Amino acid sequence: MLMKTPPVIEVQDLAIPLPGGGDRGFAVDHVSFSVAAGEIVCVVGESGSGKSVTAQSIMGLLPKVFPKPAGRILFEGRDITRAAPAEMRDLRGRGIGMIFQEPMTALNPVQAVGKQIDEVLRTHLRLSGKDRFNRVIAAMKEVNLPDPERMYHAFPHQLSGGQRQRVLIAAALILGPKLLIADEPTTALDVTTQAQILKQIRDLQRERDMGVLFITHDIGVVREIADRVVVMKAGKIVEQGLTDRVLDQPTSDYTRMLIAAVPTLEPKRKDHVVTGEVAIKVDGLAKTYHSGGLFRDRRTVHALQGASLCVRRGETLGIIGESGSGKSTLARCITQLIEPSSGKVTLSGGRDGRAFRQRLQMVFQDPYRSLNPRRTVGQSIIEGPMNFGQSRAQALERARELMQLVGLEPHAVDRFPHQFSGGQRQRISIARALAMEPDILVADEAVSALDVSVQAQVLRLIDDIQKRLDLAILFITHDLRVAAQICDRLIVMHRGEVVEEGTVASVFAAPAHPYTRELLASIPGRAEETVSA
Amino acid sequence: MNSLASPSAAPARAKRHLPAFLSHPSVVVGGFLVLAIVLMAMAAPLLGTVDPTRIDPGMRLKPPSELAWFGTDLFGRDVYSRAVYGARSSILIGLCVATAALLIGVTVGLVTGYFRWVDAIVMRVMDGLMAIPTFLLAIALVSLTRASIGTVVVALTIPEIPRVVRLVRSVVLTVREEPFVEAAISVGTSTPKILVRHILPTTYAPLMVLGTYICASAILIEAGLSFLGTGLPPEIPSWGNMISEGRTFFQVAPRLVFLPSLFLALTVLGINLLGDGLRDTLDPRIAKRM
Repeated sequence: MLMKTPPVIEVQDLAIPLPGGGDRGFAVDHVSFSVAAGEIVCVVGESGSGKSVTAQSIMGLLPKVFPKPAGRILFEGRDITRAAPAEMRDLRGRGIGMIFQEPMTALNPVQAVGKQIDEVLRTHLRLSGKDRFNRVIAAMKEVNLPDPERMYHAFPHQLSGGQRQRVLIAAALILGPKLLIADEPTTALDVTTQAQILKQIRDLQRERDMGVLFITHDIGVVREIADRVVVMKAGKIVEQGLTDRVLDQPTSDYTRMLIAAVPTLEPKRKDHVVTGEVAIKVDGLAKTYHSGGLFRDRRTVHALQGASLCVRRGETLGIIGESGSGKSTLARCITQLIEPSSGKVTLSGGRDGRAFRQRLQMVFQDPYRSLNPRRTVGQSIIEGPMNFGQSRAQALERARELMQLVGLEPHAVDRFPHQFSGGQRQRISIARALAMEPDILVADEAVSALDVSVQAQVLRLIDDIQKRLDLAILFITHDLRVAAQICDRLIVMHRGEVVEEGTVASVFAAPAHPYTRELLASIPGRAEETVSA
Repeated sequence: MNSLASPSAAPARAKRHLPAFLSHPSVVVGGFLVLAIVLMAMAAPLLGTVDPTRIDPGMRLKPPSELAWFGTDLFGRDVYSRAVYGARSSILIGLCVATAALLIGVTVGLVTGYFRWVDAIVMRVMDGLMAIPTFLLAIALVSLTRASIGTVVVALTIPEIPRVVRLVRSVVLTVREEPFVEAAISVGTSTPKILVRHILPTTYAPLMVLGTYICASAILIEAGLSFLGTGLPPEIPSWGNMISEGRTFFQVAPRLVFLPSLFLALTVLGINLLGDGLRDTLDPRIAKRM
């Protein structure tokens, strides 16, 4: 039934050369696919696969560094690669709508959101102010924004991430385009919000019978929303077809690898028995922020309200929660990067007489920013040991060993961070933490910024290192799939409080708190899997 | 302090920036002008000059001749020699003011940017300093002490310091939240080391640009002060002094004003071009902040 309707957009043999110095000749390498009215086509691929560049070229928004693309893009049968700028401008909004990954930066921070939706109407139609206002309100109602009349005058920072994305969807769809391009629209959102937005896009697409080109890196999201899938790798299409066919009987090795790399919800450590002594004990840790001052109202934010936990050697404790749940605050209080308002952290066991910073180390979320770009990775790794009196030669020797341990070339210590990929940088961050020979490792969203295939490798590395060095690990993540892979126990955080605690298997099988149940229900692609207790 | 940090890091960075530097027309033209003036100042005795302070009452206000290429002034001093030697005082003052302002400004800026409690106090002091007009401060200092290069340097440096502090502080405020700084804290690096090793290098590029502007403005203001008679003492050859003295005879002998003005204009133009070029190649973002 899907094939019968004529395509809204047809991309034929699209080729976009990469500007000089790239690792391959084409950003998009002779790609052909189409989206029909009433279907959702997912373009899935890892970072650098050319999926966003494809979307940008359809919108005519290709960054200037790229040369003019070759091939044809047919919108309702008309080639838009040859369209004049004025025609393209008219097409954007009227014919094709687009939503972006980061709803905060896609909205103008100094303009009321209603005005920003209104801008589409002002640009394309000649309507009176009152008519426009009514249409904006209607559009806002359609995407389920609460109290549209009031929200019309709100500024982006006053809205939650999900509400901002809804505003963008309203603006993209207000003129009833035939095609919606969604470039990773839920990647920056929490899982529970992601589930709502996906449903919203699905519902609107069905109501209006429009075509949706949905770009994502997440196989779970694909399963949730797509009618057809296009798998891209290094600018080429490796496979395309109906969702069930591609996901259940993939024909290419790459697709198989992508699917296999998605962590399952099956708790991996069900039978893992922890016998180690207690390495770290946290009692009633709380952090309260005060804002305002002399001329403003004083406001108090309880970022963390009395969290207690304890981790044994050889054990991984997962701290689960969405943004704003206080999990990062907890990590930073434990690592003494910020001063807790109350409560205490006790390190016990292990060799005595070592400083706190030697016994507890941290791996940071963003591998692109956690290494100083001006210093070689060797300098970054040996900085800690040298702070505690190791000689340079000794520390460097150890750094080479550690590079090998984390699966990198020992002589790469002389290179700079920009010469490594994201996954390699995260390995370097782990090596830096291990250089201190810690008893406890705190990993703050350590694999969240990585592609799934790389994520799996880094998770294996962490798992392996824990066994070898008998580490206690505090693993902070928003991703329950990742948590299932590596954690023995979980604590679930919500609004600064620990709402649930238990082994992974018991939390997954019988969540006690409603928030945990909601979290579990929101995992994309979950319907396909069953969780055994 | 960090023998292992800079040497290996610096060449790699320099290599990356070098081609961009040299291909930028502003850098080429500005650099050439500045280099020419600096060479002229250094080689002043070799450029056919005579003693710029020698007074010869018999040679007053003589037109250009073989003896005096640009004629002589009211006291019979050689205009050409004075203009060439004048480059020395201008460049000396420009460099001293820029160096002093950068050194003090960077130190204060690093500390205020990193420690929040210092920030509130020091920045109010800086606001106060910014409110002092350069000329008034210079006139006050010169009349309190006596006219000398040192006095002029101090008078010109003080109002420039807040600009450096503000720039450094703004860079520090953004960099100190970077995860690599937190990473350094969590491996036990001491605060002074973090400031010098991780934060200071991020300020180099914008500081180079700001330094050239300070240098150019110091040269201009020194000329202005000397013109008003509150800058360098009259016996030291300086472009400002020459323009001031030549002003009275402008209609009779415009050459007295012409040569020092030309040198002054070329120097400031050269330094500003160099600064603009550096800004464009090193840090495009800074263009908006200035």
